[in-house]
Amino acid sequence: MSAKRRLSVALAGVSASGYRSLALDYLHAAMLADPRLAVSVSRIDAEATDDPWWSAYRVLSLDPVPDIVALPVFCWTASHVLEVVRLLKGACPEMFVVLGGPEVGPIPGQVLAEQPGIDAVVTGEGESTFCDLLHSLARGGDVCGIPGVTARDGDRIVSGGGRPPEDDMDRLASPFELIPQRTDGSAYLETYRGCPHRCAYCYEGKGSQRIRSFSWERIASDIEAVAATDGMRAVSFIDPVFNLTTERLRRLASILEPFAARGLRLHTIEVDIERVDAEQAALLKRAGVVSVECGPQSVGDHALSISKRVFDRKRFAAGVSACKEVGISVECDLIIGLPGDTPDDVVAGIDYVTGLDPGCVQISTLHVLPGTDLWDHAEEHGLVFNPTAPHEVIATRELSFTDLRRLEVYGNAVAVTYKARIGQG
Amino acid sequence: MISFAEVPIGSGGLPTCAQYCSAPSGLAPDPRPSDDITRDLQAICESWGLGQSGPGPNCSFIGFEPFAHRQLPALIGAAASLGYERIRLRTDAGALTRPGNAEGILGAGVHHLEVVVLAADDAHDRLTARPGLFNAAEEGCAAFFSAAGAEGVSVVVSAYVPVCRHSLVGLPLAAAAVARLGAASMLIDVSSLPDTAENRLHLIEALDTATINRVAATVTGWDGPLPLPWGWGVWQPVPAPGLSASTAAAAPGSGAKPLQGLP
Repeated sequence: MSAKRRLSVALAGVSASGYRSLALDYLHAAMLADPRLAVSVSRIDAEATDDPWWSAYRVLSLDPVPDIVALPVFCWTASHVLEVVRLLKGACPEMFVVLGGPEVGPIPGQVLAEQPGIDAVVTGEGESTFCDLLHSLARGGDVCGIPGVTARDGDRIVSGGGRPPEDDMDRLASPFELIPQRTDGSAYLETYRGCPHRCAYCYEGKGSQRIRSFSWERIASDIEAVAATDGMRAVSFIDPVFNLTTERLRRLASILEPFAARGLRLHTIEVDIERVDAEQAALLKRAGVVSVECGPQSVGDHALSISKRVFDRKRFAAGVSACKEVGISVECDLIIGLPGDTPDDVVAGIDYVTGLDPGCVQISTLHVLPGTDLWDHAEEHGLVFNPTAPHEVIATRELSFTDLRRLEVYGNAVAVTYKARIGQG
Repeated sequence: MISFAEVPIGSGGLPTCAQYCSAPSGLAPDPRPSDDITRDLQAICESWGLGQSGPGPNCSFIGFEPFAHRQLPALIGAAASLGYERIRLRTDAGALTRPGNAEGILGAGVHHLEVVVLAADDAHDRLTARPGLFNAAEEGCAAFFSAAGAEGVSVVVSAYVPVCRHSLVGLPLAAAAVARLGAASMLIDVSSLPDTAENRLHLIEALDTATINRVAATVTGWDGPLPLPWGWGVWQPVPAPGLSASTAAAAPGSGAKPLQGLP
């Protein structure tokens, strides 16, 4: 890529049906707000169930064909994205392909070594890094050496080192201000990044454990921008813990209450259920929350210890009750296959959560994600998993392959039987 | 597994053993009076939650083909008004092919079907002496799912598989056939069979077949520990709560000893 010129960039996201990538919204906003960049941007939102060939077609049929395509990768979209990359590079070898996201960010060298069609991987939060990368490419420069970028230098794979996450979150351009929001009635929002928990199976904090919040002014303006979108009815906050503190929840409730009064509803908000008391439940209700999602993921002491999770049976039950008291539906989540859990532990977990009579029970199989503690210490924990995404657990020291499969089938039967009840959709 | 209190609504009219077996229960339809059933429903509902913490109350109408019971709508209505969260019908599912039946029970509050399956396909028809019954069950379940999809409600199909010497060898095929009905789980009742090493082998084959077809299988009917693989310890049937002794005795599968896994 030579001489300074206007680059054509495609942001291509693969999401679950009905969803749109918020990460790409942030990238898009960052590009629009960066005065160094003069790029044309195309946005493609494919669904994980789409044929990858169709997704590739949508990129290659753009006019002009993009110079650069950026794709976020999650464990459940990896096979789709990698197939798209193979097709793009086959049809258009000069296209510069950049990947980011939790499936590739923690292991950029491995990804580049295994996937010759990828030119660079953005690690960590991508807004500033991706803009620097585009700026360098627009000037005909090299992307090697950019903090947060791992890329090819001939036959070598070169890391530009890490880039600290943005401390002043308000410096991140707001996608809600800069990009027209879709009008199908729902949106994602976030008020902070980082996670107070250290769960061994989770990459929610994206390598950063510090809580970095947007200012209250920014949070209020983002919410207002989303709520002002015609037809907007439902919002999901992707904050890892929506009820970080009661004081924070009070402020959020006061911002959201007027919109809740106009009918805006918050769905599947992740909460630390053990912190939810009568006051927090009332605040959640005031904010327009109709459903929350929580653990416990496991009730087995050994698995909880390995997973670095705290679980207090009584406080958990009290939190579920407090939500139910005010009419908020609770989804309880369990993970099958956590190291340390025996079959009895898994069944005890299922019995425990169904015994709480929550709105919904979600039972899923462990995925050992790059960048997590379980990924790094799998052997130590006797954890065997599929090296190919989505990295399902194959066996643990306590659960054989067949035990796991039987438990998955059992867990699914319980969950669907639980769900099917009078008054429940 | 989620517990259901089994409520007999009569006897007969429902194939629960092969036509070649002695005393086939399908030959003498005898519905219970609805007042008696309602009284049972009330008693179970009042005692639900005592001594156990499972979600509910839930009930399962068993022992008689529910679509042949003239008071079925009233019985479902009684259960719903008593506050039952989950109402299940044990049925041969053939009647669900009739227009309006699937929508009717769904609208009344039935989100659970337990289809009686003796064997797969033609073998089911032969053992029940009801030509075309398995196909009808498939179509009936499809109608139930379709009605639920149209209404946007969650429903579950499970299977009750009573095993006798005539159906034992075909048990793995029956497990696969259960999966074709769209069932999430199946209860295998081996109470009419002796507990022998050979019989266990057929049972294990069926359990494995169910698993690879994503059907959770539970076994009832044999006493004492069985030499099943350790992981099968999770398939322990839970006796339905709130059953009176007489109700339990009348209810196939209730009061069964749980399977024990190998240490």
